[in-house]
Amino acid sequence: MVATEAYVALSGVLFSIGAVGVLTRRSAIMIFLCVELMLNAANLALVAYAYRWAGTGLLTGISGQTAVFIILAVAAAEVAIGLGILVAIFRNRASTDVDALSEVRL
Amino acid sequence: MYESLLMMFLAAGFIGAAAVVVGALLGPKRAGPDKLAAYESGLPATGTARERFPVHFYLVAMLFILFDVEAAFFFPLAVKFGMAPQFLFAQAIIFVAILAVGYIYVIRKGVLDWK
Amino acid sequence: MTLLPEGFIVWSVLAPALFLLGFALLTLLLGVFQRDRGFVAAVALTGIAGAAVFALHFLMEAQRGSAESGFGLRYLADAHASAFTLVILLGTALAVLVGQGTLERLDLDHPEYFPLLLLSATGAVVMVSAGDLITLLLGLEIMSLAVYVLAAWRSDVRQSQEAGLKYFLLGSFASALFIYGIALTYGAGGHFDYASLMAVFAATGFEAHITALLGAVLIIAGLGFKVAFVPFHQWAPDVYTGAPTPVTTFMAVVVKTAAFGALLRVAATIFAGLEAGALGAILPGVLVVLIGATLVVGNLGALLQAGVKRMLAYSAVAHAGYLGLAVVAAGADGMAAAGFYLAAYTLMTAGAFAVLTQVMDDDDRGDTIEHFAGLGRRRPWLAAAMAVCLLSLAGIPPFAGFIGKVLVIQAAITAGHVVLAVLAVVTSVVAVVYYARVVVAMYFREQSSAARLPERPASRSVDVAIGIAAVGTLLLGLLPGLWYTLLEQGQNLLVFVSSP
Repeated sequence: MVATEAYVALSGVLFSIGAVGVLTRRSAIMIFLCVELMLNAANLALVAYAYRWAGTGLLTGISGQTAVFIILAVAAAEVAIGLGILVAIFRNRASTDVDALSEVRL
Repeated sequence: MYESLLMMFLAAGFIGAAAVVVGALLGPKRAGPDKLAAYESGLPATGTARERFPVHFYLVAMLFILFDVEAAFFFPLAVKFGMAPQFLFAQAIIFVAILAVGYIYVIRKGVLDWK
Repeated sequence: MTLLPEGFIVWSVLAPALFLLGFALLTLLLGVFQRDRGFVAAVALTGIAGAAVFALHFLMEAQRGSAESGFGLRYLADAHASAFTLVILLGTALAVLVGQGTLERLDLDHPEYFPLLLLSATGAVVMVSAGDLITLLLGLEIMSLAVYVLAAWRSDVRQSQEAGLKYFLLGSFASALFIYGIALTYGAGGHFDYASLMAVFAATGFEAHITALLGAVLIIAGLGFKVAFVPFHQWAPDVYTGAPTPVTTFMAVVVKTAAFGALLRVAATIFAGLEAGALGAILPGVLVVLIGATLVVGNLGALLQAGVKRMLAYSAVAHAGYLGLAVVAAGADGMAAAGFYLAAYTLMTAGAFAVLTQVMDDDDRGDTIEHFAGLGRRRPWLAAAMAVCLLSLAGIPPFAGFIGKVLVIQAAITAGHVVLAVLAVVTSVVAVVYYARVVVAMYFREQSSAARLPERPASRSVDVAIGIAAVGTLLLGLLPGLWYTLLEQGQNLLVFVSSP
């Protein structure tokens, strides 16, 4: 029997890898992949917690699993829109390096 | 508890490795330009694999993903369908109707006209 | 055999959101079958008006003390939710009017503007009505996804592309933080709905303090991005500047209203529950630091800007700081103060951006102060409206912004955050400088030859939007009770009351 904490720790590691990736990567596609990694880390944590709460007899044990469905759909919608924006930009400048995005000052 | 899983992994690994090793030992080796070329389903391999594809492929793939993921919501619905058939049927119809509006939009915009 | 307890599902509370959604789909279909953009805009406004009628009904019910809710307190239609819904609808209507008058000029004559605005507004309404973290997440995503597209809309203009990509990448990063926060909160509390979480966190014997606290901090980060709290504000100036001005109008008012509506509710329930337990002092500390930084950075940033559009963007960050005062004072007082502030903020900010569309060049550039020089003589009404909006943003009586500031500062002092209140007063003195600069240019400087007002017929729908904004700002300033009593006396569900 693997403890809930182990799953949550794994999800924490995945989440951190994703977060570090978002902050250090330069290609917009890679940043986006890292965001997806973070979302899936959240899904893993939700499923692990849902399993534990269901084990304690809590009725909302199932809602953690349904939340995962919703997050999956959200992620798909984000992919569609994000890649759409990327394609529009790529058509105009043939690069997805975010460091090249310097037209607008910080 | 996990012994059977371990056995399965071992068996899968063994069969995979055996196929490669036995093939390499027993198979005839007659290399030629055709033999060494990458396998392209029988078509001659031409050009680079990093070609840029028309954006149309991307659009259709994206639409597929969207409609595909929305279908995932039917699984929980199907599991509990027996508990309130009319109510859940109505919900499913509303859900599909909303998707249908998007579908009509896509058709009218000509995304699915492959030219 | 029934699926759910009797009376669990109350469709009527969804009426404003469903009405908007229906009209979003309708305008989407109309847009592809009918080329007349004016007609589509009229349909969109009808939808907004219809949703407003429902929201007004719920607000009146809340006045009678019979606030409604559905799905077991997971979707609320109390005073807070319906008042914020009305503010969102006002902001959306102003954005529709501004867009109708300027899109053609910007070479963006696509009917998709209206369904995207309505969809985004639907998400915003769901956010402020949510009584459950998953409902909140859905609203947040519905709202954000439509705005990502709108921000990147002028895909042939580099600035707009970059605005869109930046907003999208940072926005989805913020969503990921928010979602992980939800997962941790669920892990600590075992529920998604605010009421149960509040009860679990405040209960004696609750142990998962650290998980819950981490979850709360991630939720603050996710929502803080949308409202542009420092240090999550870096996208705001770029995106506000790069996006087409009608879209900037919508982002500045509606997205902020929705995110604050949600944040206030979460603060009044989940955070309040956490604060009752051990480690409870950490969360308000985090918020105070964020809000103090927002006040300072937003106002100083605005002071340093040469472009008026970018100045207004930093001003939007600064106003997030003032609204933050209401968040640390969460509870009935803070919610009512923020409700008033956001109504005033929506009117004056949308008004200022609407005037900006009239002053800027045809290609949505040219927003230096020079462009405003001598405006008082050439277009007296336009200049007067801009002056009203800017002076109100600066917090000068008798305009609405002043009353809003007084209310939030009062709420913060009542909640014991005197330092923040003092900081807010000091920074709003700084704010007067950068708003007054534009007003001075309009009235006391001659038109420069380099920056001429573009010659084009005034757009009637933009004029209507400017008129509504300026008159509304004045009216809310002179008769604040009209709106504030509704907020103050309306019944709010789920407000945390610490047990003795």
